[in-house]
Amino acid sequence: MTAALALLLDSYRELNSRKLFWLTLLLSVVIDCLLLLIGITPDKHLSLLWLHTPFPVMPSTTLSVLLKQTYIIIGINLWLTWAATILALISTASIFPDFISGGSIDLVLAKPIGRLRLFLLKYLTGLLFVGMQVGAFSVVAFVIIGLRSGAWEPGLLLAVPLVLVFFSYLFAVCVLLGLLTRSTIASLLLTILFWLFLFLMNTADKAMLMPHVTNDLYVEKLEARLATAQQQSDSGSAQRTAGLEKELAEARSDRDAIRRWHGYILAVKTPLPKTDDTMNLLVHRVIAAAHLSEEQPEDDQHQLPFLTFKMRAAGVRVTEVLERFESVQRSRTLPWVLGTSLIFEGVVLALAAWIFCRRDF
Amino acid sequence: MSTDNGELALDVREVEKVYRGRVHALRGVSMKVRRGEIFGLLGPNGAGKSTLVKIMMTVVHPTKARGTLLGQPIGHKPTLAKVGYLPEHHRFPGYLTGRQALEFYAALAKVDRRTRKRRADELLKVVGMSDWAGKSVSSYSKGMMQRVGLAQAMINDPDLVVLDEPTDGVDPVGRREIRDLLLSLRDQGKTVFLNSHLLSELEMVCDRVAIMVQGLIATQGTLEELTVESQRYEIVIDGSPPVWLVEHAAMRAERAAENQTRLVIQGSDPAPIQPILDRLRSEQRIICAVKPMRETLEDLFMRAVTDPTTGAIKQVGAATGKRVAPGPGGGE
Repeated sequence: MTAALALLLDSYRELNSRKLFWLTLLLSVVIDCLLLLIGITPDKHLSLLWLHTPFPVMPSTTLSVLLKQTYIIIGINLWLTWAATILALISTASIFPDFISGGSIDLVLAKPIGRLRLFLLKYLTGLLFVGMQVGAFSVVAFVIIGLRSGAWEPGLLLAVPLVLVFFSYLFAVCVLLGLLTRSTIASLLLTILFWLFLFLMNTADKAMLMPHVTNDLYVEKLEARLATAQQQSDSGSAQRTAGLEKELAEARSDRDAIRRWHGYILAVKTPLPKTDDTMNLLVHRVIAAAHLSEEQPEDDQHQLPFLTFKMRAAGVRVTEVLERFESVQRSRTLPWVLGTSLIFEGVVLALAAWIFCRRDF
Repeated sequence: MSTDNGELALDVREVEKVYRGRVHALRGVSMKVRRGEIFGLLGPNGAGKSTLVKIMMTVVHPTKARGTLLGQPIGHKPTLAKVGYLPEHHRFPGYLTGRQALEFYAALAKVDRRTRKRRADELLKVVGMSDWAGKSVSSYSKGMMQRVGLAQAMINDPDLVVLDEPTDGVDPVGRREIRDLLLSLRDQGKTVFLNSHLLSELEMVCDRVAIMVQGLIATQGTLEELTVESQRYEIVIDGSPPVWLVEHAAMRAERAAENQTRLVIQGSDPAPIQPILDRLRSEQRIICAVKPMRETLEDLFMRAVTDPTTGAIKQVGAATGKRVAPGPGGGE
């Protein structure tokens, strides 16, 4: 326990000594200040401090909703998911390469503390950075939203564990690479490359999911129309049925091809950490916990790239496609999103721990 | 299960280390260090000294190792609570002050909070770093780092202190202070294991030494034991060698300074030289000096690293390729 507390205190001192730690905290405060400064004017426009902006808000939008939406869009989607994570990676990437550098690691390994315990403690204290940053940011946001709008939503604090989990996927990879390369720069760059790869996989997944659900709906619509046409017995029904059967066969063929390709992408994605899905999970959970309704597009005012004229003619609507898209995304269960990601993290950590325990320093 | 025989702080046998299946850093090292003594391990660069120390301190995994450290098997982590260690080229995190560094490493060695604060203050005073205790170690000179490193090695009040090049980067005054510190540790009953290149310093403080060459212990024992064959008396006289020199088989003459002769009599017993001195005086020869002599540690070291057949210095560094059987000088 003494050794664990000493390592915890040491990690805090290490982070405390880095300017980036304080810079990140300062930026978190700036974003929290935004929640303090924005408001709604009586004529339903956005205000910033005493300035009236020309940006109108929805007539139904209350201050509570505005603050919570700002927290989600700017706080979670932009700040915690991207900027703060990159800063956290830059700050923590050197923890293991510095720790195992010659002359430094000898002093620690020669103490009566097991290597595995040492590794895990160092890893956990490395997560301290993000824990402190997200914790401070979310608690301050929670208090500001509560004080200003009277909406005390503990659900907003879900960001703390979920962002921590999200960061831990990347940190585990960074630790492994740091142990292998012994270089801060190399481990940081390779981790960011890995993150980019995950981002591309997620983008590919989303890019395939949209035509996937669009084609599913198209086939379903055609099947329904075909069934109706087959029940009719007027003079043109045979010709219509034949036409629909041909169109249905083509649609099924397209759908199967898209399903197959999407299946390949999912097969690659499944064992990898799901950074994007984890943050989506967070956004959906926070929206639900904060009693917000998700914005739905007004039908047919939008264009979807995969929604062709033929599909529209078959009765596929934009809202239906988006609802199905959202529904499929939400059907990705917690075990699939977090479970497989944590299994990946566990495997990476186990490998890193094995290297740390076996290596001669 | 304890295997402590009570007398030995370190008892290692047949320690081998092969790096990446090719480099034989240690090729069956056996060594005994008694409790309460200052033991010096010396050898040329790459002989395997640091590897042996790192194996003792669990920093490096041995390919093969038998034996005990403070009565427990090598690699037994809890035993390290009673061992202090100063690695060569050690580095403290730059964000810590001297006092914080001591307290951090004391905590890792499971020293309780109150004791580590007290010990940190005491040891900073002992190593002359009290005035710098609150300053960041990144501002320390190499000598200051070495002083705090020494304090770190003693922070847990260890029974065994293992020091790898403790005087590296330290000025002559500091070196003398460190020597005094080591002697005071021995007086307190602690065992000190020194790994150093500075033969003259080892000679001044070590009770026993071992010389390691190419991953093997070439020789070990007290300086007295190791130099017994080289012990002799030297008598320096004016003029040429006495004509009766041939009557003494154990005596030989060498040319000393201008118009001087050095008579060398093998052995450490002063009795045989008395009749020689009497005879020289009776001949009214001027006796300039009478000195008991023996090999220095440097002589011993050079003898150990020199190939007796070729007279060349043995190849520096660990051996590569197949394991070579230990020579007759190796072992305990």
